Amino acid sequence: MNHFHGKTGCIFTEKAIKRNEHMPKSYWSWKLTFREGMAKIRTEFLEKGMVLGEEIHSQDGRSVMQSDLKLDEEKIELLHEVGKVYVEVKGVNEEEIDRLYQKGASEDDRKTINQLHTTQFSLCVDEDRYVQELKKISLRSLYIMRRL
Amino acid sequence: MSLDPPYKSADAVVTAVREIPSPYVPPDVLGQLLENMNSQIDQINALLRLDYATIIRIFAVANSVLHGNEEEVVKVNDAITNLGHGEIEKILDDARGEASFPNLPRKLFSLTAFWNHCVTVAVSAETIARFLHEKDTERYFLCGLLHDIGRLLMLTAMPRLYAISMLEGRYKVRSLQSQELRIFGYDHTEVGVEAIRYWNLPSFLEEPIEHHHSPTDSHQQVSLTVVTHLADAMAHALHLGQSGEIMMPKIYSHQIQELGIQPAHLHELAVETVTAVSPLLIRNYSSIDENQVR
Repeated sequence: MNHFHGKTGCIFTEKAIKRNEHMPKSYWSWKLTFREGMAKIRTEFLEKGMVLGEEIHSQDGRSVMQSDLKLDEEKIELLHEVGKVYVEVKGVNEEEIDRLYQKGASEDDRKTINQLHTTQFSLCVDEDRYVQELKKISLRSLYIMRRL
Repeated sequence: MSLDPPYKSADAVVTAVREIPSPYVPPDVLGQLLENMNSQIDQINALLRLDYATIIRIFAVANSVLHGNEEEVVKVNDAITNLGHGEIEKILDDARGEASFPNLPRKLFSLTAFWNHCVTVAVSAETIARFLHEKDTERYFLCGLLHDIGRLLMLTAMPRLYAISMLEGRYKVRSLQSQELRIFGYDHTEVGVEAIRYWNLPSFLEEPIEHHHSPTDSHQQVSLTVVTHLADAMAHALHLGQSGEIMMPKIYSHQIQELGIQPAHLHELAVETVTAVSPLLIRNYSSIDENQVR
Protein backbone atom coordinates (compact mmCIF):
# COMPACT_ATOMS: atom_id res chain seq x y z
CA MET A 1 0.00 0.00 0.00
CA ASN A 2 1.20 3.45 -0.82
CA HIS A 3 0.98 5.47 2.38
CA PHE A 4 1.70 8.75 0.68
CA HIS A 5 -1.19 9.01 -1.73
CA GLY A 6 -3.41 12.06 -2.02
CA LYS A 7 -2.82 15.32 -3.79
CA THR A 8 -3.61 17.67 -0.97
CA GLY A 9 -2.65 17.55 2.65
CA CYS A 10 0.52 15.61 1.92
CA ILE A 11 3.84 17.33 2.46
CA PHE A 12 5.87 15.28 0.04
CA THR A 13 5.06 14.55 -3.57
CA GLU A 14 5.40 11.12 -5.15
CA LYS A 15 8.45 12.41 -6.98
CA ALA A 16 10.11 13.39 -3.73
CA ILE A 17 9.30 10.02 -2.22
CA LYS A 18 10.86 8.22 -5.19
CA ARG A 19 13.95 10.39 -5.10
CA ASN A 20 14.52 9.40 -1.50
CA GLU A 21 13.14 5.92 -1.65
CA HIS A 22 16.22 4.45 -0.04
CA MET A 23 15.56 6.50 3.05
CA PRO A 24 14.55 4.47 6.08
CA LYS A 25 10.94 5.07 7.02
CA SER A 26 11.81 6.25 10.50
CA TYR A 27 13.63 9.29 9.16
CA TRP A 28 10.62 10.23 7.08
CA SER A 29 8.68 10.17 10.26
CA TRP A 30 11.08 12.62 11.84
CA LYS A 31 10.60 15.00 8.98
CA LEU A 32 6.88 14.54 8.78
CA THR A 33 6.18 14.75 12.44
CA PHE A 34 8.47 17.42 13.67
CA ARG A 35 8.75 19.90 10.91
CA GLU A 36 7.66 23.12 12.56
CA GLY A 37 4.06 24.09 11.95
CA MET A 38 3.18 20.75 10.41
CA ALA A 39 1.51 18.63 13.02
CA LYS A 40 1.28 15.24 11.35
CA ILE A 41 0.06 12.35 13.41
CA ARG A 42 -0.04 8.68 12.61
CA THR A 43 -3.62 7.50 12.20
CA GLU A 44 -3.13 4.93 14.93
CA PHE A 45 -2.59 7.80 17.40
CA LEU A 46 -5.70 9.77 16.47
CA GLU A 47 -8.04 10.48 19.35
CA LYS A 48 -11.65 11.56 19.65
CA GLY A 49 -12.03 15.33 19.79
CA MET A 50 -9.04 16.16 17.60
CA VAL A 51 -9.74 18.58 14.74
CA LEU A 52 -8.67 17.56 11.25
CA GLY A 53 -6.36 20.13 9.65
CA GLU A 54 -6.50 18.95 6.04
CA GLU A 55 -8.88 17.60 3.47
CA ILE A 56 -8.46 13.85 3.05
CA HIS A 57 -8.63 12.20 -0.36
CA SER A 58 -8.88 8.57 -1.39
CA GLN A 59 -6.37 7.01 -3.75
CA ASP A 60 -8.52 7.84 -6.76
CA GLY A 61 -8.63 11.49 -5.74
CA ARG A 62 -12.16 11.62 -4.31
CA SER A 63 -12.68 13.80 -1.28
CA VAL A 64 -13.27 11.57 1.75
CA MET A 65 -13.30 14.10 4.56
CA GLN A 66 -13.28 17.86 4.77
CA SER A 67 -10.88 19.71 7.04
CA ASP A 68 -11.98 21.30 10.34
CA LEU A 69 -14.04 18.24 11.28
CA LYS A 70 -13.91 17.06 14.88
CA LEU A 71 -12.88 13.42 14.92
CA ASP A 72 -15.15 10.79 16.43
CA GLU A 73 -14.74 7.01 16.37
CA GLU A 74 -16.45 6.70 13.03
CA LYS A 75 -14.23 9.28 11.37
CA ILE A 76 -11.07 7.77 12.86
CA GLU A 77 -12.14 4.39 11.49
CA LEU A 78 -12.70 5.96 8.08
CA LEU A 79 -9.20 7.49 8.14
CA HIS A 80 -7.76 4.06 8.89
CA GLU A 81 -9.59 2.64 5.90
CA VAL A 82 -8.26 5.38 3.64
CA GLY A 83 -4.81 4.08 4.55
CA LYS A 84 -3.09 7.38 5.00
CA VAL A 85 -0.49 7.05 7.71
CA TYR A 86 -0.10 10.70 8.58
CA VAL A 87 -2.88 13.20 8.92
CA GLU A 88 -2.66 16.78 9.98
CA VAL A 89 -4.59 17.88 13.05
CA LYS A 90 -5.10 21.35 14.40
CA GLY A 91 -4.08 22.59 17.81
CA VAL A 92 -1.72 19.75 18.67
CA ASN A 93 1.74 20.82 19.75
CA GLU A 94 4.96 18.81 19.80
CA GLU A 95 4.60 17.82 23.45
CA GLU A 96 1.23 16.35 22.59
CA ILE A 97 2.76 14.41 19.69
CA ASP A 98 5.41 13.09 22.09
CA ARG A 99 2.65 11.99 24.47
CA LEU A 100 0.86 10.17 21.66
CA TYR A 101 4.02 8.37 20.57
CA GLN A 102 4.69 7.29 24.13
CA LYS A 103 1.11 6.21 24.61
CA GLY A 104 1.30 4.13 21.45
CA ALA A 105 4.35 2.16 22.62
CA SER A 106 3.99 -1.26 24.15
CA GLU A 107 5.01 -1.91 27.74
CA ASP A 108 8.11 -3.81 26.55
CA ASP A 109 9.11 -0.98 24.23
CA ARG A 110 8.62 1.54 26.98
CA LYS A 111 10.79 -0.49 29.35
CA THR A 112 13.56 -0.88 26.77
CA ILE A 113 13.47 2.79 25.85
CA ASN A 114 13.56 3.94 29.46
CA GLN A 115 16.53 1.70 30.20
CA LEU A 116 18.41 2.95 27.14
CA HIS A 117 17.60 6.55 27.98
CA THR A 118 18.59 6.27 31.64
CA THR A 119 21.88 4.58 30.77
CA GLN A 120 22.64 7.05 28.00
CA PHE A 121 22.41 10.10 30.25
CA SER A 122 23.79 8.57 33.43
CA LEU A 123 27.02 10.60 33.19
CA CYS A 124 25.31 13.94 32.48
CA VAL A 125 24.25 16.74 34.80
CA ASP A 126 20.43 16.67 34.89
CA GLU A 127 20.01 20.37 35.70
CA ASP A 128 21.95 21.52 32.62
CA ARG A 129 19.51 23.07 30.13
CA TYR A 130 21.47 21.74 27.13
CA VAL A 131 21.34 18.25 28.61
CA GLN A 132 17.60 18.64 29.19
CA GLU A 133 17.07 19.53 25.50
CA LEU A 134 19.25 16.64 24.34
CA LYS A 135 17.28 14.32 26.60
CA LYS A 136 14.04 15.43 24.96
CA ILE A 137 15.50 14.90 21.48
CA SER A 138 16.85 11.50 22.47
CA LEU A 139 13.60 10.27 24.00
CA ARG A 140 11.62 11.46 21.00
CA SER A 141 14.01 9.68 18.61
CA LEU A 142 13.83 6.47 20.60
CA TYR A 143 10.03 6.43 20.57
CA ILE A 144 9.75 7.28 16.89
CA MET A 145 12.29 4.69 15.80
CA ARG A 146 10.83 2.06 18.05
CA ARG A 147 7.39 2.57 16.58
CA LEU A 148 8.36 2.30 12.93
CA MET B 1 42.97 -13.62 28.49
CA SER B 2 45.61 -11.05 29.35
CA LEU B 3 44.47 -7.42 29.46
CA ASP B 4 47.92 -6.26 28.50
CA PRO B 5 47.49 -4.19 25.32
CA PRO B 6 49.82 -5.22 22.48
CA TYR B 7 50.38 -1.58 21.48
CA LYS B 8 51.71 0.57 24.29
CA SER B 9 51.18 3.98 22.74
CA ALA B 10 48.79 5.85 20.46
CA ASP B 11 51.34 6.17 17.65
CA ALA B 12 52.05 2.42 17.77
CA VAL B 13 48.35 1.79 17.06
CA VAL B 14 48.42 4.17 14.09
CA THR B 15 51.43 2.52 12.45
CA ALA B 16 49.97 -0.96 13.06
CA VAL B 17 46.85 -0.35 10.96
CA ARG B 18 47.62 -0.43 7.26
CA GLU B 19 44.14 0.01 5.79
CA ILE B 20 41.09 1.84 7.11
CA PRO B 21 38.01 -0.39 7.02
CA SER B 22 34.80 1.13 5.67
CA PRO B 23 31.44 -0.31 4.60
CA TYR B 24 30.92 2.41 1.97
CA VAL B 25 30.48 1.31 -1.63
CA PRO B 26 30.86 4.31 -3.94
CA PRO B 27 27.80 4.64 -6.19
CA ASP B 28 28.24 3.88 -9.91
CA VAL B 29 27.50 7.49 -10.71
CA LEU B 30 30.80 8.47 -9.07
CA GLY B 31 32.72 6.36 -11.59
CA GLN B 32 30.81 8.00 -14.42
CA LEU B 33 31.54 11.47 -13.03
CA LEU B 34 35.24 10.67 -12.77
CA GLU B 35 35.37 9.39 -16.35
CA ASN B 36 33.72 12.54 -17.65
CA MET B 37 36.25 15.38 -17.79
CA ASN B 38 33.43 17.92 -17.80
CA SER B 39 32.00 16.77 -14.49
CA GLN B 40 31.44 19.40 -11.89
CA ILE B 41 34.01 19.05 -9.14
CA ASP B 42 31.37 19.79 -6.48
CA GLN B 43 29.37 16.74 -7.59
CA ILE B 44 32.42 14.50 -7.19
CA ASN B 45 33.22 16.13 -3.85
CA ALA B 46 29.68 15.51 -2.54
CA LEU B 47 30.06 11.76 -3.10
CA LEU B 48 33.70 11.39 -2.11
CA ARG B 49 33.53 13.30 1.12
CA LEU B 50 30.95 11.00 2.71
CA ASP B 51 33.45 8.25 3.32
CA TYR B 52 36.08 8.78 5.99
CA ALA B 53 38.39 6.17 4.46
CA THR B 54 38.31 7.81 1.03
CA ILE B 55 38.86 11.29 2.46
CA ILE B 56 41.86 10.06 4.45
CA ARG B 57 43.44 8.47 1.37
CA ILE B 58 42.83 11.51 -0.82
CA PHE B 59 44.34 14.00 1.63
CA ALA B 60 47.20 11.64 2.49
CA VAL B 61 48.18 11.36 -1.17
CA ALA B 62 47.59 15.05 -1.95
CA ASN B 63 49.79 16.09 0.98
CA SER B 64 52.47 13.45 0.38
CA VAL B 65 56.02 14.30 -0.65
CA LEU B 66 55.34 12.69 -4.03
CA HIS B 67 52.92 15.43 -4.97
CA GLY B 68 55.30 18.09 -3.79
CA ASN B 69 52.75 20.72 -2.83
CA GLU B 70 54.42 23.61 -1.04
CA GLU B 71 51.26 24.48 0.82
CA GLU B 72 49.14 22.06 2.80
CA VAL B 73 46.05 20.92 0.89
CA VAL B 74 43.10 21.56 3.20
CA LYS B 75 40.08 21.52 0.89
CA VAL B 76 38.53 18.47 -0.74
CA ASN B 77 38.06 20.32 -4.04
CA ASP B 78 41.74 21.31 -4.07
CA ALA B 79 42.77 17.72 -3.34
CA ILE B 80 40.60 16.46 -6.23
CA THR B 81 42.03 19.08 -8.60
CA ASN B 82 45.55 18.31 -7.44
CA LEU B 83 45.27 14.58 -7.89
CA GLY B 84 43.17 14.52 -11.04
CA HIS B 85 40.31 12.20 -11.87
CA GLY B 86 42.59 9.30 -12.83
CA GLU B 87 44.39 9.27 -9.50
CA ILE B 88 41.10 9.51 -7.60
CA GLU B 89 39.80 6.50 -9.54
CA LYS B 90 42.96 4.60 -8.66
CA ILE B 91 42.53 5.47 -4.98
CA LEU B 92 38.95 4.21 -5.08
CA ASP B 93 40.00 1.01 -6.86
CA ASP B 94 42.79 0.37 -4.37
CA ALA B 95 40.38 0.86 -1.49
CA ARG B 96 37.88 -1.73 -2.71
CA GLY B 97 37.89 -4.81 -0.58
CA GLU B 98 41.38 -4.36 0.81
CA ALA B 99 40.66 -3.48 4.40
CA SER B 100 39.20 -6.24 6.51
CA PHE B 101 37.47 -5.71 9.78
CA PRO B 102 37.17 -8.22 12.63
CA ASN B 103 33.77 -9.79 13.08
CA LEU B 104 32.60 -8.33 16.38
CA PRO B 105 29.24 -9.03 18.02
CA ARG B 106 26.74 -6.64 16.46
CA LYS B 107 25.37 -5.60 19.82
CA LEU B 108 28.83 -4.26 20.65
CA PHE B 109 29.93 -2.71 17.39
CA SER B 110 28.80 -2.46 13.78
CA LEU B 111 31.01 -0.90 11.11
CA THR B 112 27.93 0.35 9.27
CA ALA B 113 26.60 1.97 12.43
CA PHE B 114 30.00 3.56 12.98
CA TRP B 115 30.01 4.94 9.43
CA ASN B 116 26.49 6.33 9.95
CA HIS B 117 27.61 7.96 13.20
CA CYS B 118 30.55 9.66 11.47
CA VAL B 119 28.36 11.02 8.66
CA THR B 120 25.71 12.19 11.13
CA VAL B 121 28.29 14.09 13.20
CA ALA B 122 29.76 15.57 10.01
CA VAL B 123 26.39 16.77 8.74
CA SER B 124 25.38 18.02 12.16
CA ALA B 125 28.65 19.98 12.48
CA GLU B 126 28.08 21.53 9.07
CA THR B 127 24.48 22.38 10.01
CA ILE B 128 25.64 24.07 13.22
CA ALA B 129 28.36 25.95 11.31
CA ARG B 130 25.77 27.28 8.88
CA PHE B 131 23.60 28.32 11.81
CA LEU B 132 26.60 30.25 13.17
CA HIS B 133 27.16 31.86 9.74
CA GLU B 134 30.64 30.33 9.44
CA LYS B 135 32.06 30.68 5.93
CA ASP B 136 34.14 27.53 5.55
CA THR B 137 31.61 24.89 6.61
CA GLU B 138 33.55 22.07 4.95
CA ARG B 139 36.13 22.21 7.73
CA TYR B 140 33.37 21.49 10.24
CA PHE B 141 32.12 18.61 8.12
CA LEU B 142 35.59 17.04 7.97
CA CYS B 143 36.14 17.42 11.72
CA GLY B 144 32.85 15.64 12.36
CA LEU B 145 33.60 12.94 9.81
CA LEU B 146 36.98 12.06 11.33
CA HIS B 147 36.38 12.85 15.03
CA ASP B 148 36.25 9.18 16.11
CA ILE B 149 38.79 7.76 13.67
CA GLY B 150 41.06 6.85 16.60
CA ARG B 151 38.39 4.50 17.94
CA LEU B 152 38.20 2.67 14.62
CA LEU B 153 41.99 2.26 14.61
CA MET B 154 41.99 0.89 18.16
CA LEU B 155 39.21 -1.53 17.27
CA THR B 156 40.97 -2.65 14.11
CA ALA B 157 44.32 -3.15 15.83
CA MET B 158 43.05 -4.76 19.04
CA PRO B 159 39.49 -6.01 18.43
CA ARG B 160 39.20 -8.54 21.24
CA LEU B 161 40.67 -6.36 23.94
CA TYR B 162 38.63 -3.37 22.79
CA ALA B 163 35.45 -5.50 22.82
CA ILE B 164 36.20 -6.49 26.39
CA SER B 165 36.68 -2.85 27.37
CA MET B 166 33.31 -2.03 25.76
CA LEU B 167 31.54 -4.84 27.58
CA GLU B 168 33.05 -3.90 30.91
CA GLY B 169 32.15 -0.24 30.36
CA ARG B 170 28.52 -1.12 29.69
CA TYR B 171 28.19 -3.28 32.78
CA LYS B 172 29.92 -0.80 35.04
CA VAL B 173 28.26 2.28 33.46
CA ARG B 174 31.53 3.89 32.47
CA SER B 175 32.20 5.96 29.38
CA LEU B 176 34.13 4.18 26.66
CA GLN B 177 36.77 6.89 26.78
CA SER B 178 37.44 6.21 30.47
CA GLN B 179 37.59 2.49 29.68
CA GLU B 180 40.17 3.15 26.96
CA LEU B 181 42.35 5.12 29.37
CA ARG B 182 41.99 2.48 32.07
CA ILE B 183 42.83 -0.53 29.87
CA PHE B 184 45.11 0.87 27.16
CA GLY B 185 46.63 3.90 28.89
CA TYR B 186 45.61 6.16 26.00
CA ASP B 187 42.27 6.97 24.37
CA HIS B 188 40.77 7.32 20.90
CA THR B 189 41.33 11.09 20.83
CA GLU B 190 45.09 10.59 21.25
CA VAL B 191 45.14 7.88 18.59
CA GLY B 192 43.06 10.10 16.31
CA VAL B 193 45.36 13.09 16.49
CA GLU B 194 48.43 10.88 16.00
CA ALA B 195 46.78 9.46 12.89
CA ILE B 196 46.05 12.93 11.50
CA ARG B 197 49.75 13.82 11.83
CA TYR B 198 51.01 10.45 10.53
CA TRP B 199 48.83 10.62 7.40
CA ASN B 200 49.60 14.32 6.73
CA LEU B 201 45.95 15.29 6.93
CA PRO B 202 45.08 19.00 7.27
CA SER B 203 46.39 20.34 10.58
CA PHE B 204 43.14 22.17 11.44
CA LEU B 205 41.74 18.71 12.24
CA GLU B 206 44.13 18.12 15.13
CA GLU B 207 42.54 20.13 17.95
CA PRO B 208 38.90 19.19 17.23
CA ILE B 209 39.83 15.50 17.12
CA GLU B 210 42.03 15.64 20.20
CA HIS B 211 39.63 17.73 22.29
CA HIS B 212 36.11 16.94 21.10
CA HIS B 213 35.47 15.45 24.56
CA SER B 214 37.35 18.24 26.34
CA PRO B 215 36.72 21.46 24.37
CA THR B 216 38.07 23.64 27.20
CA ASP B 217 41.56 22.41 26.23
CA SER B 218 41.24 23.82 22.73
CA HIS B 219 43.01 27.15 22.11
CA GLN B 220 43.62 27.51 18.36
CA GLN B 221 40.49 25.96 16.84
CA VAL B 222 37.92 26.69 19.52
CA SER B 223 34.89 27.01 17.25
CA LEU B 224 35.73 23.84 15.28
CA THR B 225 36.30 21.91 18.51
CA VAL B 226 33.14 23.05 20.32
CA VAL B 227 30.97 22.49 17.25
CA THR B 228 32.41 18.96 16.81
CA HIS B 229 31.69 18.36 20.52
CA LEU B 230 28.06 19.49 20.14
CA ALA B 231 27.57 17.65 16.84
CA ASP B 232 28.77 14.43 18.50
CA ALA B 233 26.24 14.95 21.31
CA MET B 234 23.53 15.64 18.72
CA ALA B 235 24.27 12.39 16.86
CA HIS B 236 24.08 10.49 20.16
CA ALA B 237 20.73 12.14 20.96
CA LEU B 238 19.31 11.36 17.52
CA HIS B 239 20.44 7.71 17.68
CA LEU B 240 21.51 7.85 14.06
CA GLY B 241 24.42 5.47 13.85
CA GLN B 242 26.59 4.32 16.73
CA SER B 243 30.22 4.84 17.56
CA GLY B 244 30.34 1.99 20.07
CA GLU B 245 29.76 4.44 22.91
CA ILE B 246 26.25 4.23 24.36
CA MET B 247 26.72 7.05 26.91
CA MET B 248 26.06 10.68 26.14
CA PRO B 249 29.44 12.42 26.53
CA LYS B 250 29.83 15.11 29.19
CA ILE B 251 28.32 18.34 27.80
CA TYR B 252 30.37 21.58 28.01
CA SER B 253 27.44 23.99 28.10
CA HIS B 254 29.43 27.14 28.83
CA GLN B 255 31.55 26.67 25.68
CA ILE B 256 28.47 25.94 23.57
CA GLN B 257 26.73 29.04 24.91
CA GLU B 258 29.78 31.18 24.18
CA LEU B 259 29.46 30.26 20.49
CA GLY B 260 25.95 31.77 20.52
CA ILE B 261 23.94 28.56 20.65
CA GLN B 262 21.11 28.52 23.18
CA PRO B 263 19.38 25.35 24.50
CA ALA B 264 16.23 26.32 22.58
CA HIS B 265 18.21 26.15 19.31
CA LEU B 266 19.00 22.44 19.71
CA HIS B 267 15.61 21.20 18.54
CA GLU B 268 15.81 23.21 15.32
CA LEU B 269 19.37 21.97 14.74
CA ALA B 270 18.22 18.39 15.35
CA VAL B 271 15.47 18.63 12.74
CA GLU B 272 17.84 20.23 10.23
CA THR B 273 20.41 17.50 10.86
CA VAL B 274 17.89 14.68 10.41
CA THR B 275 16.57 16.23 7.21
CA ALA B 276 20.04 16.67 5.72
CA VAL B 277 21.59 13.38 6.82
CA SER B 278 18.71 10.98 6.17
CA PRO B 279 19.36 10.45 2.43
CA LEU B 280 23.07 9.89 3.10
CA LEU B 281 22.96 7.10 5.66
CA ILE B 282 23.55 3.47 4.83
CA ARG B 283 20.10 1.94 5.10
CA ASN B 284 18.82 -1.17 6.82
CA TYR B 285 20.41 -0.36 10.09
CA SER B 286 18.55 0.49 13.24
CA SER B 287 20.66 1.87 16.06
CA ILE B 288 17.95 1.07 18.54
CA ASP B 289 18.74 -2.41 19.68
CA GLU B 290 17.43 -3.91 22.85
CA ASN B 291 20.67 -5.83 23.13
CA GLN B 292 22.30 -2.58 24.08
CA VAL B 293 20.31 -2.53 27.26
CA ARG B 294 22.40 -3.73 30.11
